[in-house]
Amino acid sequence: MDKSQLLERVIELVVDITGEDEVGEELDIDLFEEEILDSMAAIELLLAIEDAFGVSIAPTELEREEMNTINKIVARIAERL
Amino acid sequence: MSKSKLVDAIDQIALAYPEKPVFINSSGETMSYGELRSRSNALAWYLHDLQTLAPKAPVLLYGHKSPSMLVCMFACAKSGHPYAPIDTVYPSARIADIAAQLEATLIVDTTQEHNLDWQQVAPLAEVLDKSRLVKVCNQDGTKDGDGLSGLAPDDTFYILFTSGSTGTPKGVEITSECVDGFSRWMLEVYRFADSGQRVWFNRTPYSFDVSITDIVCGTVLGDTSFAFEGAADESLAQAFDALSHAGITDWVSTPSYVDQCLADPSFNEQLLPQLKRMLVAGETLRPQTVRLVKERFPKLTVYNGYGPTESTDLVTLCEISDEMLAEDRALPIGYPKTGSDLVVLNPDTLEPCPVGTSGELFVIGDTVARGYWKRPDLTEVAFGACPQEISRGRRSYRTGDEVTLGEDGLFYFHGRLDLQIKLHGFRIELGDVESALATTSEVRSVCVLPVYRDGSISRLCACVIPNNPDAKRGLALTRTIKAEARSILPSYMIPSSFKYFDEFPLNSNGKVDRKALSQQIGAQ
Repeated sequence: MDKSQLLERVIELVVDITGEDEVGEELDIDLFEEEILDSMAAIELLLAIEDAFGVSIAPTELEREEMNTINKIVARIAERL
Repeated sequence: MSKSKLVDAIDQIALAYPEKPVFINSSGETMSYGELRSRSNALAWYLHDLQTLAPKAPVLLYGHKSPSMLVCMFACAKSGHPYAPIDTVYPSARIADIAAQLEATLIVDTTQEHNLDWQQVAPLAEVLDKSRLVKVCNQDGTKDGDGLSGLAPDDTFYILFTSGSTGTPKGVEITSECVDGFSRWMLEVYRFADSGQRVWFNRTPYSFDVSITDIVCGTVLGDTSFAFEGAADESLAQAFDALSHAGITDWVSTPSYVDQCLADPSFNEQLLPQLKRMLVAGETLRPQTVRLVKERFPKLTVYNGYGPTESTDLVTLCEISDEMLAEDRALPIGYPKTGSDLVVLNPDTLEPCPVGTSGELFVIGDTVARGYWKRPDLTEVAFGACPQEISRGRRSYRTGDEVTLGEDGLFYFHGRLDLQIKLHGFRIELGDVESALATTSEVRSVCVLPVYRDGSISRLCACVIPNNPDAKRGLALTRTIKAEARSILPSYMIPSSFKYFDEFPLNSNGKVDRKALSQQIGAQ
């Protein structure tokens, strides 16, 4: 899977969990500050990432600021693929 | 003097065991029973002598989980003042609204940071800030509590503000008798639990009534409460670290918070070897959650509780047994507490429903609130609806919750009969969110809908008709609206997603057809 496929898939997951269709418009906005993700949704996202990429990230492994934007989420997955 | 039995009991514990810790938090702050007693006495005398504070006038307490909050609560009770606890999650406009409703003349700001401009939020109130508070509480030679006015059974102990359907928070007035009725029941439940040192996890912010469970249980039983302050609230890794050091024996939280913790495999018996009991309340408890909890903590006893803020936190409780989990159906919310009658009535005819038939729950008894602060109209609707022949002169509350009383004597919760919802344990009136969003400049019309995942509400979606039909509809517009909403709504009330419409589907009454709109956005 190349970087752009990964990005596309992550956007799909975030859209699915948050219902915010336009979330792919800006890849560096803070999803928590913008009330797009809350702590429950963040955990749903980690579970969805595990299903989609086989990458398991425990919620205690990452602090909020390590996964608060689309680009950072992509980077965290890429590190583990 | 008339006294709250709860306050009296805690003073007795303080005299017998002054060194025993009553409160510790993850920032390392600790307070003993003796300190709680002397500090609350000193503050109570200060409040008593304060010229600007009229007798029985409410005091607004602002802060999160510092020991001072507990001191202030007990000082208010000792000096005969109700307190209204406001957590730091609230935005300034909402606090201003609450301060105005209370006509608050005194605000105690227990935060270190002083982020709020009280001049603007509550221009008429005097503010007692943290540094002065500490001075008042720690002065030498304070008299004891005898001679203070205290609270009569029918005086208001606290006022909790909860989401109101028209966008104005409403204050639930809980009397001293209510608090004592609730403590009495909790003593019955926990008295025989075990005799060892208990440490309660005080998770819920004081603005939400689940916190009364830890305040009451953590104190009246002579136990210790542990709370998060600072980073542990945001970071699960730090939360786990703090919890394992605190030696928690008794857990109280919403099921959502338990689900969050369970998502991490390290949340297990090794992390919390002392944990004995877990009480969850505030929203529907799913069997999957309890099964997983029991897998991770095989020796743990799990209780499910239920109750509206209007009847002092909890009115039902039961242990979730393995048999309940074996049956593939909804978990019960529990047996009624002693001192309360729970009746199920047909919401239209107000006739009693037979066992096994669903209807609206009415709570009658000693923990039902006096009503809504200075809102006789709302009070009449909710607290005056129960037929006299059923309530027989006792206070009653119409919950708006649809329940069934089972053949097994247990109550089962089905959902709401109106537009109030629970999102991750937060009680939200959808009308409250709609009113707030409607005041923002880009919104002409708005309908807020809950979105379900696996049978429970996972988030909110705002369906918006923009003020400017030509406005570009997308994330930028959504961000503009959210930025404006943030000054009026706490973040848990801001919908995660926004969808834009030119018009809404209407039903035959000409009202927005919420069901059709839900289907359009795929929310069901």
